[in-house]
Amino acid sequence: MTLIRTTILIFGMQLTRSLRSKRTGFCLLVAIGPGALAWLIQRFPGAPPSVEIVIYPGWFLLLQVIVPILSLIAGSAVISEEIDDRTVTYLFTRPIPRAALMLGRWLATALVLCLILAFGAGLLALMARFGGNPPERAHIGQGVVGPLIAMAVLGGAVYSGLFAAIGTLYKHPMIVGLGYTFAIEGFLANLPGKSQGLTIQFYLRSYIAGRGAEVWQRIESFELTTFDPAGEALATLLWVLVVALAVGCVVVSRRQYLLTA
Amino acid sequence: MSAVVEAEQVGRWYGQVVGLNELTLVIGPGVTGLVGPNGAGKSTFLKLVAGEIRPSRGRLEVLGLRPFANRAFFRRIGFCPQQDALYDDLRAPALVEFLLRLSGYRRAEARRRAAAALERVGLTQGLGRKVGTYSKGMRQRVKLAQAIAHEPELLIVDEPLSGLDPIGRAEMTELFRGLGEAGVHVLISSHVLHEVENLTDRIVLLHRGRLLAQGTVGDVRRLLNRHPRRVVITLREPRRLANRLIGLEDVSSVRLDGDGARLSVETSDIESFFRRLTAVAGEERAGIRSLESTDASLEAVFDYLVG
Amino acid sequence: MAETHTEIYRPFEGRLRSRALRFLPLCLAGIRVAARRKLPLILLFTPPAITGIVSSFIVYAKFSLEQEVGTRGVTDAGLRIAIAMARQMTQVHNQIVGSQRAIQTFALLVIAWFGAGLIAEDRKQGAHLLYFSRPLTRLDYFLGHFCTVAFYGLCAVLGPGLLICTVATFSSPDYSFLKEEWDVIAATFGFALVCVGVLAALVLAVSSLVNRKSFALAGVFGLVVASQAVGGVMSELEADEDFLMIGIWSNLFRLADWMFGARRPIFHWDPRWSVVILSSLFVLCVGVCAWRIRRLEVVA
Repeated sequence: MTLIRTTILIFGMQLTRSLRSKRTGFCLLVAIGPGALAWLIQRFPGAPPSVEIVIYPGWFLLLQVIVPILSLIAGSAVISEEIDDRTVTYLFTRPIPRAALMLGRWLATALVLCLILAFGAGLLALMARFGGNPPERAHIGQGVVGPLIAMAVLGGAVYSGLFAAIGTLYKHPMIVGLGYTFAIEGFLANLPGKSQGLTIQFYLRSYIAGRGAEVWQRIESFELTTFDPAGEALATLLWVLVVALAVGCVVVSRRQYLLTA
Repeated sequence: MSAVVEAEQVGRWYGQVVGLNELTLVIGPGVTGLVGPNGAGKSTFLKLVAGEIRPSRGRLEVLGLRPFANRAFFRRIGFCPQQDALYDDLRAPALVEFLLRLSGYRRAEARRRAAAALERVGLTQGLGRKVGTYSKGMRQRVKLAQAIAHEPELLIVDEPLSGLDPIGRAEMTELFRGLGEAGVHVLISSHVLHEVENLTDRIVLLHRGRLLAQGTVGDVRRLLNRHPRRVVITLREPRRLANRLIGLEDVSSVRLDGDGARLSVETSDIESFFRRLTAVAGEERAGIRSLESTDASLEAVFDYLVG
Repeated sequence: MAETHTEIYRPFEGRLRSRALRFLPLCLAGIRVAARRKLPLILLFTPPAITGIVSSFIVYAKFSLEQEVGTRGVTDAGLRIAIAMARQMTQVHNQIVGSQRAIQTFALLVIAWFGAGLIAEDRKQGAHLLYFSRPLTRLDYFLGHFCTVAFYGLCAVLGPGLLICTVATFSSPDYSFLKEEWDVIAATFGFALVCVGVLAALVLAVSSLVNRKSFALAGVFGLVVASQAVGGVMSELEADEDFLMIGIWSNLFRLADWMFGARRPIFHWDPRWSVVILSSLFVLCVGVCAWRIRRLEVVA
């Protein structure tokens, strides 16, 4: 069985399972959060303009909390779930390239995750636009929603790929992932200087700052940062994803996984 | 015939814990039982043979190939692991079919083989339910089905009879025997010695990570000459025969059991004893009703070796 | 023929009686099991320990400096101002509040690490079948696990605060800290109990909803961080600081400022709202635990 054919087989099986799983339902529920918040905000008197309702929850809640957390939950389980459930035995004793397990499961996981995040971002924009603000304050404009959805999707893919690779390396990928997300990224991403380049958040910000509308600059933390050009940021994110997946594939191909009885 | 498994000074450890130590053995074709108490290293050995893990040292070849992460090897084997782990959200036919497709079969062929394998292991009901709702016995059958569905050359089964009721055990034993007769090499591990004995007389005995004995049960027993063989004779005139037997030079003890209708004899040369017993019993008109060698079993062999 | 071997066993004489504190063996067993793995203990407790030691040193320096200044007197006006500022900054209760803020992530990590797998792994491994086949009530089961988490949580939260208070007591002249500022000690205990109680209940509630420790960990962190994020966003958009009350940590900080009498608190809403919010969260989490444990017992 070739790598591509096996990957497609595993992708197909995992996609079906993911769509039916409780975890997907939970992720969907969480992704709806910003949209619900957008609707709620407009219930209060003196609600801000809809464009701000998109960018603040979009940036602080969706991109900085929901995308990493859901990517961690989904991505870290790509390999570690098979190991924890001890079902990896059946796959590793088949004549398939082991890397296909990593790629196939990640592809299915990332697809479902990205769809959910895109839906969440879209719902946020929809609720902000039609959630109750009068027409003169409901206008959102160009360069707000598109980059947000794009970065939610790309952030989901990159984070999930990174956490999937971490899942092949560590016995407790969730701990490592949480540490990276909330300690390393939370600290470095807000520190002025070159160290921001060690975080995925920096490149997401760079893309939005470069391709998004001027209104994104209203977010405070943007003022302290010298961004990379949007194209370079996008290339870096894709490069991180490719490297993470490559590392994951190599590790899973060579490593022995000891299953507890 | 060439060896199925060749292990030379194989060792495997997990940190400080030694799973296997300096294991050197050759397993030939046919059905072979791998026996030993819990913690003997059976599962470790089977995982090495199945290519799930690598040896920490030594050389291991199965069907002439190094097993670990070897796709050519995996085409030729089927592995039924010990752990009760399956894809609980799938139905049994879908699960077996998926694994068959990973073995390279097309969808229609995989579906047909999956159905045949499930029928062969006796799982004909509950196929519409998810595996997570199955009883332990049904789950065991699913595990076996996925191991045999692609007609492997070597079947490796780790504690396959656990969770099965007596009828199920009998059916599975028959299945393995049938596979053996059909030319499939079967390596089966169990700590339930009499079940392995029902299946095959070729055994590999492990204890504390080391090879304790290998061969047929009878051959291994013959090697244990420090333990005299015990024979229980049920007969009409036990005391008369006892008088004669005690005079034979390779009889070390004769005991009248419980109700006095049985003799329990210990002898250092059982073949010679049986030859002379016929004559002696005939002369004394002892009226032998039954004859049983009580410690020729695998369990007895194991007790002598380990105890 | 059947055989018995009564010579091996001592016949039981007496009667079985119900033990009060039935949850205690479960709690102690949980503590022992968790303590077997040394690496998490070292990694998780080192930062709170360092924070406690550093803050204690500052408090010790404060008392030493005050005694020195008190003995010799200070003539320079600038130096007097500097000393007054330093005195304010190094107030024991400020040090305690400061140390709590510094270790907040690690406190949550400790409680989450030791608590996230308790009910989730019980369910996954089927251990609940063993527990509920014993004369253990659902309350005992909950209390046993709750106390296990609370023990480690108190080590992380109360430990540094008690260390600071102890150093303050012994370095203050004539134990003046103990006599005059005993309320700080009471507040240290009180805050630790509230903080650990609420977070432990939250961790157990999340653990009871999932069947893997890793998901429970992610869920706990996600909830806490998301609550802060939502509060921050609402506060920013509505230009009203009170929305920060949505954040769990914000309420704990507000409570800390109130209990320790901080003169310049970060947040300014009525602290009784924080009491209400945290109490409600606690009750909600305990309710979720009760529901899920009931299901565990029934479905077992």
